[in-house]
Amino acid sequence: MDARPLSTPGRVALSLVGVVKQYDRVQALRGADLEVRSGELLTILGPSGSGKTTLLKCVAGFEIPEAGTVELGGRDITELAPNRRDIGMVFQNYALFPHMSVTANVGFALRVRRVPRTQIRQRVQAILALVGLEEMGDRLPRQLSGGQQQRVALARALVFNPGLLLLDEPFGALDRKLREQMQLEVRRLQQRLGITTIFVTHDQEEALVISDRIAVMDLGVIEQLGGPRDVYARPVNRFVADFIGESNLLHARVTVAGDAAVLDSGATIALPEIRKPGEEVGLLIRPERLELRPPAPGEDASFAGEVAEVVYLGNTLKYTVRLDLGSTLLVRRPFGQPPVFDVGQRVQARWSADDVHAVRW
Amino acid sequence: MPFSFERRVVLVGVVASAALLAATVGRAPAQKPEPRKPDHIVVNAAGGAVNKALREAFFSEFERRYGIRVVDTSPTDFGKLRAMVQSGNAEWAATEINEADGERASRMNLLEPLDRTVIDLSGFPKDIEQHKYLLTRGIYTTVLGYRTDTFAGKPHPQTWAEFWDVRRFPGPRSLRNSPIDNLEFALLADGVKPENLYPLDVDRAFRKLDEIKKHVAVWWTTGAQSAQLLIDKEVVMGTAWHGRFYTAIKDGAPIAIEWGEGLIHRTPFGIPRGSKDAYWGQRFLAILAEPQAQARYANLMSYPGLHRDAIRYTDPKILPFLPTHPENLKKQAWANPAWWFENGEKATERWSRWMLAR
Amino acid sequence: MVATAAATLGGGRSRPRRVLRAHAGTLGSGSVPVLFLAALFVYPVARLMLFSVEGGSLKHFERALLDGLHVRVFIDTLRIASLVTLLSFLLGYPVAYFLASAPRAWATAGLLFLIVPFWTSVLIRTYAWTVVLGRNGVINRSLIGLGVIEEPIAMLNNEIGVLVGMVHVLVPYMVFPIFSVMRRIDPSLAQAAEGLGASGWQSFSRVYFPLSLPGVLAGTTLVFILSVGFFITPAILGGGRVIMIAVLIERQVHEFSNWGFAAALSAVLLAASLAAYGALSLALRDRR
Repeated sequence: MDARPLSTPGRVALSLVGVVKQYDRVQALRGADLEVRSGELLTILGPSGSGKTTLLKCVAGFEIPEAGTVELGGRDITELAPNRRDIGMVFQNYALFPHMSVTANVGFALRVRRVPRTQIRQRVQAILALVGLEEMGDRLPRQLSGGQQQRVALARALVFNPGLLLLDEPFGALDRKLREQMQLEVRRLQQRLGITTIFVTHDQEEALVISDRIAVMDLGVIEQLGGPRDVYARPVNRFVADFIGESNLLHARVTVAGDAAVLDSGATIALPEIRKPGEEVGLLIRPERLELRPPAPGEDASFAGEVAEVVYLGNTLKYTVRLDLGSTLLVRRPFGQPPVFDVGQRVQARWSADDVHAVRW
Repeated sequence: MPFSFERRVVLVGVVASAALLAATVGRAPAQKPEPRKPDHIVVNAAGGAVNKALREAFFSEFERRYGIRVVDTSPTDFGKLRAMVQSGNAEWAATEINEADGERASRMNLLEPLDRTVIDLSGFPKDIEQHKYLLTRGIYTTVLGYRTDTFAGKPHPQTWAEFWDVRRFPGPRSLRNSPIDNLEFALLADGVKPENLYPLDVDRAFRKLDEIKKHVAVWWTTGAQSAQLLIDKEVVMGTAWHGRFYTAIKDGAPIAIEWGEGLIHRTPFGIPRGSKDAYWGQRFLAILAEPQAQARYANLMSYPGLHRDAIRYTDPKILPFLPTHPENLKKQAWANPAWWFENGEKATERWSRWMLAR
Repeated sequence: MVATAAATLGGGRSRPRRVLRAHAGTLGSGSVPVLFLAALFVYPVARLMLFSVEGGSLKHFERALLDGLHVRVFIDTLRIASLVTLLSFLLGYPVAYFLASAPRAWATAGLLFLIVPFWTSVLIRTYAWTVVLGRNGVINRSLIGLGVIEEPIAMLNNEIGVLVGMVHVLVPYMVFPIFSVMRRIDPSLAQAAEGLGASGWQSFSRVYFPLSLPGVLAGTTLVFILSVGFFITPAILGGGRVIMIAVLIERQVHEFSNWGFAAALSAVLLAASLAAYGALSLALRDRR
């Protein structure tokens, strides 16, 4: 396979405008807008039923939207047949052709394009080398491990230099270790080829690891589009805050001054930026941003409480703290870093004002 | 053991009375004590409508008279009869059998001789009365049938020569897909006298059949097909067993039967040799031979028995459709099952070959 | 004869498994199905074959294989069976495809329509065709009424009638195995093929069709074996002009009680069927 960049980074490769798709009475997409830049790996992240797979199908051409447009490389492909879109796709279950060898599977797209046979052989060989399967060409899919099947599916989707690569939850069937390894492998390959890629998953951890940008979907619309850090640290609403990562999300009302908010428990928390006075907000503090200390006399006791549970998670310790004023907090601390608490011990939670992020309730 | 006087006297007495009893029985067989009555006997026949009519006409009479149930089975099957007799486990008290198989079974000694002290055959034609193993329950005739609308106001074919005459009587015809009957009809068409039919001149018959071959639209296989071909107007004339035409005519089909040169076949019954119910089989055959019962059957199925008194008890409305009606009987010829038993296989193979030759 | 053998084979495939499960603990695996097959298939066929060489002579086989009549009928039988199989495939495959891709409720209804005729006897279904195909049948009358033709078309009492009648009876045997294989084909494979640039036809011919071949093999085998043993339908709809080997076998058994020759004819038919099946399955295996 030739290594020329498939697209110029930064330009818009794919855009969706106001895409609507209805199944029976359920509206799967309710006016989705999305721009994917050339060469980036964009993840569509959402719970099941959020419309992410439907969105992918509209891009691939397996579904035709009722309204809105899909443009690829400046060309309107909204109603174009899938076989004329020039898009490579890896299916959830890989959808390898069970009656064809690895070589035949990978060469399929070239054969139906009537590429000369010698060229097919070279290109298949090259892409198999790229995914590390050059020895497996004669095997049938069922003779391969899950990870190998995954690589064949990837090779098959890439061999014809498509303008866009779609990955539909491709790691779902793999065990954790293999999944993490494949995530990195796919990411490296994608960057090396510079191919614009849309990756669909419901696994927010995976999304954070692999993506250039993440589009968070819920109920048929894209709620937030941004870089992983952005989406994690500054979610635009409660849904995104809750869906991505672990979070402590506390209901509060902004004070008259606008620089703090009062929790239901009556405690006050300072805000990092001014908000509209009286607004109902959710205050997000990530568990790893919280610190625990033994309570000191004379301190504000609003965030004092008792350790209800301690879980060892290899490199971190996860505490559940029941506050005296009612709510609970999740706290994550690096393992081996004192102080360490046991269940039943009294603690005081602390954080820096910058670590508080307010979202609309 | 000591031999006492008293014992000897008793023994002599027993032996003497046994001898006496044996002598009496030998002289007067009619007084032989009836064997223990079984719960039921099994009678095998063609099945379907035949068995239903047999039940109404004969089985119910047997059940009434002897208090023994008749269980009927089907179909008639020579192979099964042979297997039954040869394995010594003949469960049929009596069975229907086609005439050529009847001939075969008689020669292979597979049947019990008829007990003339039980079965009264005095009202039957001589050759039937004298058959050692087979009781001819009834007859059927392969006849010529034609569509009355096609031949309305015109003469219709009355002989096989006229059936063969496609110029005077045009239109598609049907014949049975078998050499049986057709060889006879061909010879009759070629001028052979009915009484000189047998032994059949097979070469001559096939030569004559060559003439009609391309005018035969359908060679029928099943009885149901034969009449239906005329009803559906696939053909304007054809052969069938007379009962098939009768049923169609009764249902209003524009079809008529020409009895001239029809060929009569027998439907015999016999008793498997060694049947455990042979005693009752003889009594069942006796009922088959009774004119009233034969008439009952003819009224139902139009396949009459040959007892000369049977037509007296038969419904006059159906008499014209019976081969035993005196007017009809004199026009017909009799098939010879013995010839077919001996030559059937060869004739049939030649028939297939002839059918395939185009 | 062969139809019986096929039925025995079919029974032998599904029933021993059930028996085996029940006795799996006590009996060596495989012994029950083997005994079952031996008792219900191997033994009767072997016994039958023995009839054909009664008296240690090959005279029956000589007659079956060298006589022009029987050779001719054998060839006709295999030719008609092949045609019936081909036509059943051409008709049955699209039907199976339609049912396999239809929503469940539709598929169930469709299959029911295919099964219902099994509740009427073959004889009645055969006679029904005479009403449709005859000189004064539904088709000819309509065509004449519409002025399309002037003379009735001969569709009955010839090979056309035989083919129509046999295909009608046998199509379900083609549809069911193909349907059940198609049902298991992952629908995302077709999407994958299209996504990779295959046209509808390419996706079908390179992916879907090869994957449905096991069903096609089962269906064609079943239909071929059943049609080779067909008896009443060709006799009635062929008007006597179409002779299948089963007719000759039946005649030998019933009219002439000549079991030896009937067995020899059956043996030749069985061998020919097996050869045809072997050739077919080899051909189809190469395609996969």
